[in-house]
Amino acid sequence: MFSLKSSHVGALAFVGAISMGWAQEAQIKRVLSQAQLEYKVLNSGNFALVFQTEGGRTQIVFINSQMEDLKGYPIIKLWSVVYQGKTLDKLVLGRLLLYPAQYKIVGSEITEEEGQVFGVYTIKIPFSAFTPNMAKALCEMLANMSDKSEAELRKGANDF
Amino acid sequence: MRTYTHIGVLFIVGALSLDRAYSQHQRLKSLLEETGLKYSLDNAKNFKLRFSLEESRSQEVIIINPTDQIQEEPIVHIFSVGFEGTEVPSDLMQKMLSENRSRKIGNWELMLVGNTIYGFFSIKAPLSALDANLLRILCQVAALTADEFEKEVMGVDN
Repeated sequence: MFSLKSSHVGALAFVGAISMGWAQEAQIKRVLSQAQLEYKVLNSGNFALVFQTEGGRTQIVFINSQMEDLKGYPIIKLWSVVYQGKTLDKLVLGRLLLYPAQYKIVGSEITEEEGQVFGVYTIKIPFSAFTPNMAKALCEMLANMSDKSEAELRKGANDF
Repeated sequence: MRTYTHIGVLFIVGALSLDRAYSQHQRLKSLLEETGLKYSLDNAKNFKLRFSLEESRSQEVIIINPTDQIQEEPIVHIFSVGFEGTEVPSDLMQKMLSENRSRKIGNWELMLVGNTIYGFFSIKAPLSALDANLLRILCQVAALTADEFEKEVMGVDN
């Protein structure tokens, strides 16, 4: 007779988490395809979408394939890099915190990796609102806004 | 105990027809009533809620009357002030931006009003994504996050 042990529960939870991850990834893929947005799946599993912006420039928008869980509500996160440097001066910090406040749905954050600091604009919304139309509008808004900030903060550079 | 509805007025930038503005306001109002949370309205029809927290502290949360839209979808903006000053030190701005990375939803943002800089925890979400339960959760997240920051950084309870 099979008896359930705590190790089994752990294994089942792990399998459950993996299958939930796959399900979420598939849900996001479905929305992006319906929105006719081209994407690449990175090694991390995250999605990368390249947008043409003003003046022949481009901007990459990333979408995390794993959603956060807010008390049972899946939250999807879109992000785009606007700044990279060894440090962040006050001008950059102010820009990251003041600029998104004027926009409808965008926020900002910083992250450090291999001695470099990255400034990022983000959109975090409940997945239920991530319809094909909304996905397209949000990705384009984030790309345009991020590219504009990148050009201003990095003297016209077009790296992201 | 301070109120921050004067900041809310600055967010109302959309140009909606009166009919649509009224209908969106009513949708949000119904949802808020379903949560059972008590609120009052300011002159700009923003919703003002006060949460009682631990250690006899309290925190005001403001929900902007939804006038912003994306793809004709009203965007609900919930915020709570955690910082107020005439300047923001760099280390504090770094703290806000680092904290944003660990938040599942919402972000710290800054706004200059006259000579005062306000730091507020802000959550923005399409109205169609909200049910009463999620709206209640988002208001609580805004209140707790902003109050925790205010307590740690400002050492006061405004």
